[in-house]
Amino acid sequence: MKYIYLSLISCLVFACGSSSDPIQNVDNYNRTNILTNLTENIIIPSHKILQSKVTDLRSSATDFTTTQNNYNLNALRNAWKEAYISWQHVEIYDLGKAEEIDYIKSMNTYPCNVTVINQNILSEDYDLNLANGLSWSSQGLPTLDYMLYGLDTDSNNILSYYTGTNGEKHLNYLNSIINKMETTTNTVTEYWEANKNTFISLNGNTATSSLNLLTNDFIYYYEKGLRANKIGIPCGRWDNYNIYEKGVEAYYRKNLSKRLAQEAIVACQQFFSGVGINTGISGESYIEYLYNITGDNSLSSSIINQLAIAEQKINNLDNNFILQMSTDNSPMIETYDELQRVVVLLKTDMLISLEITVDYQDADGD
Amino acid sequence: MAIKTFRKTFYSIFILSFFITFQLSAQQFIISGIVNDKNNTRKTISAEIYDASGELLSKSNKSGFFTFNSTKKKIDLLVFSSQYKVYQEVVKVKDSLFLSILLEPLSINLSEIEINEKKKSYFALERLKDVEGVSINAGKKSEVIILSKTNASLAQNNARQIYSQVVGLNIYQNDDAGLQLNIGGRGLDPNRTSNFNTRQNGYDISADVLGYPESYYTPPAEALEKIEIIRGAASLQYGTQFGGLINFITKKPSKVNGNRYLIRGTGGNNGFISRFNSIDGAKGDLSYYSFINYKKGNGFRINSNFKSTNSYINLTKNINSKLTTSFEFTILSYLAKQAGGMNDKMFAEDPLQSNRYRNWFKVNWLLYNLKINYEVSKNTLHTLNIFALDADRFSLGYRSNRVSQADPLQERDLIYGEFNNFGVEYKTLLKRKIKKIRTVSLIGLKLYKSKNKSQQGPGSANSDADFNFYSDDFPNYTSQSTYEYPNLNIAFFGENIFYINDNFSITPGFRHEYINTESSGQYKNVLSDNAGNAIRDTIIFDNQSNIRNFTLFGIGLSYKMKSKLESYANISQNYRSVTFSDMSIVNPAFIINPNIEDEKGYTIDLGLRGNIQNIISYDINCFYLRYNQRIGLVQKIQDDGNVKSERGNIGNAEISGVESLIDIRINRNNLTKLKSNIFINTAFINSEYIQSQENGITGNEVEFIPKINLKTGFNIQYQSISTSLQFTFLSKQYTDATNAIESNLSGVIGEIPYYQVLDLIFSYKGNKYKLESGINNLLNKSYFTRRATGYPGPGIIPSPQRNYYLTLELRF
Repeated sequence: MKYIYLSLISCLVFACGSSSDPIQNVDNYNRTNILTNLTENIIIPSHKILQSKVTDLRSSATDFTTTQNNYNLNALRNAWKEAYISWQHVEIYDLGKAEEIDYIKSMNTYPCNVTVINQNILSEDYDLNLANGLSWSSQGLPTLDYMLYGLDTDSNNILSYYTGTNGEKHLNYLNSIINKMETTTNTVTEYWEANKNTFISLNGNTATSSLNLLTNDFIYYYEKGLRANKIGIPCGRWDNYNIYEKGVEAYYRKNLSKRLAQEAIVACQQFFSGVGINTGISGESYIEYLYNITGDNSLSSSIINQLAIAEQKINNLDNNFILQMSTDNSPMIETYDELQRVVVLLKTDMLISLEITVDYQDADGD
Repeated sequence: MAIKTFRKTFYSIFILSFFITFQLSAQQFIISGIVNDKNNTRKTISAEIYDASGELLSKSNKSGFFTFNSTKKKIDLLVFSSQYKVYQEVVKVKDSLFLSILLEPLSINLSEIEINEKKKSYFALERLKDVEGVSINAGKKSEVIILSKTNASLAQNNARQIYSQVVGLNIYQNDDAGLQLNIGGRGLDPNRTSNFNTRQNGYDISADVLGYPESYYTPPAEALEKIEIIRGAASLQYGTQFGGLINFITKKPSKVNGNRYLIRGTGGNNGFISRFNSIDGAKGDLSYYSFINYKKGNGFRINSNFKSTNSYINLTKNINSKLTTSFEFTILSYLAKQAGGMNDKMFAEDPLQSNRYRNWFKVNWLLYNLKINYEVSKNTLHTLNIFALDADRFSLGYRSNRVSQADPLQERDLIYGEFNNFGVEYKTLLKRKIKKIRTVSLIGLKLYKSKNKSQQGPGSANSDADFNFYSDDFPNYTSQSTYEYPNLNIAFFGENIFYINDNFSITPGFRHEYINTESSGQYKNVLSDNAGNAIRDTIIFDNQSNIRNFTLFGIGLSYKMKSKLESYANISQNYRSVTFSDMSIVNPAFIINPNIEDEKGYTIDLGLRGNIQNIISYDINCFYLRYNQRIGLVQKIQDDGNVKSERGNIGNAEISGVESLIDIRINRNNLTKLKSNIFINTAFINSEYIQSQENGITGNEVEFIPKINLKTGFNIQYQSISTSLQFTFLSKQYTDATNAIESNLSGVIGEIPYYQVLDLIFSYKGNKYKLESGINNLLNKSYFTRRATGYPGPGIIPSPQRNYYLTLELRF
């Protein structure tokens, strides 16, 4: 009897003790390829373009600080516009250093908070590094929108804010904001260049693997940064379609809102299809990855087609969303609906195929 | 896959072993006798006669006579009586016989507690007997911790030390006073011991057994006689949870007249002070035990401190020799300041740092219990257990996921929970013979009704422990909800031991559950723009109700080869109820699948426990746990074209492992006054998500499961001095289902690296006093056992570094 039990124990230990096989990606797709293309040809070039635009903004601000005239103001305004457009390619990437320093929020939280901005200008007592909503909404691109276009409806009067009694205080605040934008943009761009290889090497399929983070950031941006912030909230999607003018991006510049939305959807198209920012050439992307899993391009085609439909809807809108909404809100609502159709494809069909878990729960309302 | 081969092997062994061991009944003898005082042979004694496995064979009556039947050829007899020394004799049985037993009186009186402890020390195995009171344990994996036999730091409720001989436990070690117990077995989440069915003296003590099974109260180790743990097969008698039962048995009132006092005082690092005072005694038919425990300390991190008061009383009255009633009342209140969590970078910089100084936690816990025990005869026992809980908890703080960021000093998040429940459990035990087969039947009925409340909203913007809501001051606070959660549960259950022969028993059982879990309440949906400015508030009402009826089945087999060798096997179905948080929505991005069900599965145990010549005792087992219908979130397209996170039953997992506890006595007899032993407690566990609707999870390992879980120790005792050295090792664990290794910015996901801890414990026992001291984490390792998703973090919650304590105990 003893022997039966001894052998029983050894059987048990043998049976239970052997370890399971290491986990592999079910799809056998090497994510290094897509990560390399997205990082080298899209993410880093996008940051570098923005970096150069912010440098231009910096030098325009320096000129304006030296001489406050209409010419310099227009140059500064132009540099701001260029920076805002190239920003649309960068807002997707809220990860790594950018996430750590709240780069995205401090660059583009709108509507800006006029009360806090004016307080900060006059008191000269503020800390732009505070991590809260009031701080983020009193700096970055939207605050520049206010300081360059919103101080008065007449641009001559705006100029007088920088030359009048509190002129120096206004110039100081303008420079502080641009300085912070420049520093953080440099920090984030350098981080990407320095950590490129590490980022590409984390090619697994866990919540903290690079492609999982990137894909989640992309969909989150599409849902929140593009669909909700640019279109959904202004057109009152969650408020019985009561229009909310203040929510429009570049609210004070007015006729830039469409341009920014167009650039944003192009950025999303390029990201999905892996089109190099500088080269214009398609590299390894979600299209290849999905083909590898599903054996055809039907899902990618649906996504690309639907993005094109949504883009067309944006193109048909007035350059000034405020004008568009006050004359006829329905094209905005239709644009939202077409944008939403892409969310369904990305968030369910694509993520199921790629076996990627959603890492956020709420991107505004629904 | 290894797990699948394992499953096959498992089933075949399971079936085989019990065919092999099946034997037919042998001849029965009658053994009778008389117990007398050795110094005065005319004096008869009421004593209890046990065999060495711990089975009560008989009790001698007032005239000292006893009788019992046995089929065994050799019986290792133990005779206990208060005020007498323990008597031990090996009796060879060839025919029916009569024994004359003489007991030697003790010079000092022992309390009931001391007698119980003494009894335990004579028995070969520390596990539950086939039948204890009105509970059936035959064929189940059970473990018992006798507190008086551990050398653990009791005043600190040090779970790592107290549970060192319970196999495969994963323990969160983030508290230096043991205010909250966080243990999980067999790969289940340790958070607030919520995967165990947690009881004190047999009644429920968690916030809500079904809807909120978290344990905010666990009795202080200094007040406990023992802790019983029954794994998965406990589901039939106790109900919900895959982890099984953990039952804290407090010390029992003495039956000897007069009062006995115990006073313990402990001091330790970081201003730790604990006082534990208890009294036990009896007056006529009434006996009582009561304690009060007061603890305070500054914690091992800045921004932390705690203050706790816990008291308890037990009044027991023997109405007559058959009827006993007892009343218990427990009250706990504590307030703790919490230092928050950190991310990996912060932990690497300074593992004890804190940047949260406005986080507080408060608990009030009141438990009531009335028990009636009616022993109609030696073979029929009825118990009625009526219990109630009246409790609340508050957590207040700034709990942003951005753990490294400074607190913006705005309003804090406040969560309030109120728990009111009561239950009645009736059990009856009947021993009888059906056609020569001895059987023990248990039938029980449980009614449980609760009404809980929860509220979340803005707390004050100050730093103090102000647990009021400031909803008017911060109307647009994003997380605002109030819910009521009624729960009704009726369970009917039964188990029956059939002793096919003296060695082999089969115990089938069932449990039928009716559960109605409801939630009704509202939340505020604040529509904000991108900068967080509120555009519109909407109050959204939500009601859910989930009624279900189901029956669980199970069967256990036990084969006792000798009194010191037993093999057992069981298979039992398990469930974990849908919780209140599964049933309520606080954000419009979520919906609940209307078909959401309880998580269901089953556990198989196969084990061998025994003792080799009183030198090596062992308990080795293998388990397979199937955990189906795990509740989680999936992205689902709605009819209106939106995508929402839907909560439902989304996946199945399996967990299997080998667990063993081996204890080796180095000095086999008492020839020298030196005693020493070594124990080795190991668990090797494998796990896999075998199916999941969540993307990329199928094939992954289940979170919180170290593949290797080792606890080992060396104890040495010379006369009154004893010392223990204990080592704990856990291999790395994942903390999420995607098996992320790298952590994120909040420190909430990412692996928990392997860790090892060494503890040194020392005690000296005099006649009326005892000195206990120890060094926890002797090697001063910085480690963590937990990544909290919310409270008390979020993020990494570090474990204490090296610390010391000293306890002085007086008994009189």
